[in-house]
Amino acid sequence: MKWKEISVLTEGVCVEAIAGIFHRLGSGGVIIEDPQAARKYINKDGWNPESVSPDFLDHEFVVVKAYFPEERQVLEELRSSLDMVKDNFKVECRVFIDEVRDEDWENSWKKYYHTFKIGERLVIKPSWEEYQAKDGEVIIDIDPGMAFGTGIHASTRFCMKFVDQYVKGGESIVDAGCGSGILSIAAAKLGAVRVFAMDVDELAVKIARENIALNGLKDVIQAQTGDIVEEIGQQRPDMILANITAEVVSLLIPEAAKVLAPGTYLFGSGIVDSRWPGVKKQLEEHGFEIEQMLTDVDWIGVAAKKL
Amino acid sequence: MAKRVMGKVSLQIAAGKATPAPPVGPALGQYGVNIMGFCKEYNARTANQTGYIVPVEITVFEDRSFTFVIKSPPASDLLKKAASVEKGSGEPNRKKVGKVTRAKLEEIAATKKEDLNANDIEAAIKMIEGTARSMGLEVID
Repeated sequence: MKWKEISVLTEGVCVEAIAGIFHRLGSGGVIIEDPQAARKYINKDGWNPESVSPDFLDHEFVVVKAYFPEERQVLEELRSSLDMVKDNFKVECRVFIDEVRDEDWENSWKKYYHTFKIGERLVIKPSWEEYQAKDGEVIIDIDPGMAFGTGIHASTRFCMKFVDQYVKGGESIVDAGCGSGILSIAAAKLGAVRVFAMDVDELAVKIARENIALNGLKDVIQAQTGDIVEEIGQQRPDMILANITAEVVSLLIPEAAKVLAPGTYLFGSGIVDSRWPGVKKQLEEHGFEIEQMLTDVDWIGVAAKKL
Repeated sequence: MAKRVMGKVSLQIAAGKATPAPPVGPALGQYGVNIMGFCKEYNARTANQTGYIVPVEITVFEDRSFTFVIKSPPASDLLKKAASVEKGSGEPNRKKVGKVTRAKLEEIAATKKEDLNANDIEAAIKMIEGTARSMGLEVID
């Protein structure tokens, strides 16, 4: 998809006004590049001088940027609003328009994503890298694209560790909010016989299917678009993986309690510690015992056993 | 040793609704940050503020990890609330959509002073006042 990138070159005093104009025009957000804010860091934490163009730091002006789908006509209204900014602040703003495409940024992070190990057995390997498995290692080939689930984020790591520890072979598993499919693939590679993966995001499901095929697991994992809270009633899993957010995990708990047999597990992750008390209460009220908790900074992952 | 800082990006986006689409994608993509990782984290932390725009200032480190702090709401949001209007004016010089008192401007300026990069409270008030007028709000005493 093509986007119009509109950059308004201005002074610090006008930033909030211009951001407000973009919000009103429906930009869905703005970027503010403020050299003054960046300069604060130069002497603080050891600035990498190569990371930012010296031109950017040398000047005083600020850039407020917003993006609109190519066909949206916003310039006329923007210009008339900027006239008002000029009247009020006595600052002349300059507008620059550029065209960007999704591809321009979608792949930039891949340069920094490399093969790594999680838990005892699992090795996450980006599909564009080569790696020779050592004894006992299980390789997961993954191209997460724009879906969540590279394995780096604490919430995914927690679930990977649970999968590594609890999947012994022969299980039926539900992956709630599957993202790139990384957890489903890990579970299947460790011996789960059936995995039902679901995500509300169609693009994530498409990416998950590609990754499932890449790992040769089409016969084991079924990926579908949909709301897992509504769909879970159709499943009879031995384990539920829910790497989503505290809100969705909380909604899922009562439904999961209906389908999980005593002695089976719900693994919840993506929980920020401020929301943990609510999730914990839900688990206890629905007959779960908290068997294990993993934490990293303020993220929490939980292995809860159905009593 | 502290990790070396690579860059800083400020974003004003809707709470709980960050996606890899612009502006998040291009803002973080240029630094090689894992965009979905940021979206997940931002959405988890702002889920209880859905319906509001919640600005963040993101610091990117040399290893492409990042941290962010949540900032005060945008001035335009605070002004809309103060004036009880749904939306700013599309023609702010001709069509006024509401009124806001000077006292309210000062209150908003005080709330936002830390995040505004304003040198003093006077500069912050001037920023808020100009923002109000640019939205088609009349400033009254």
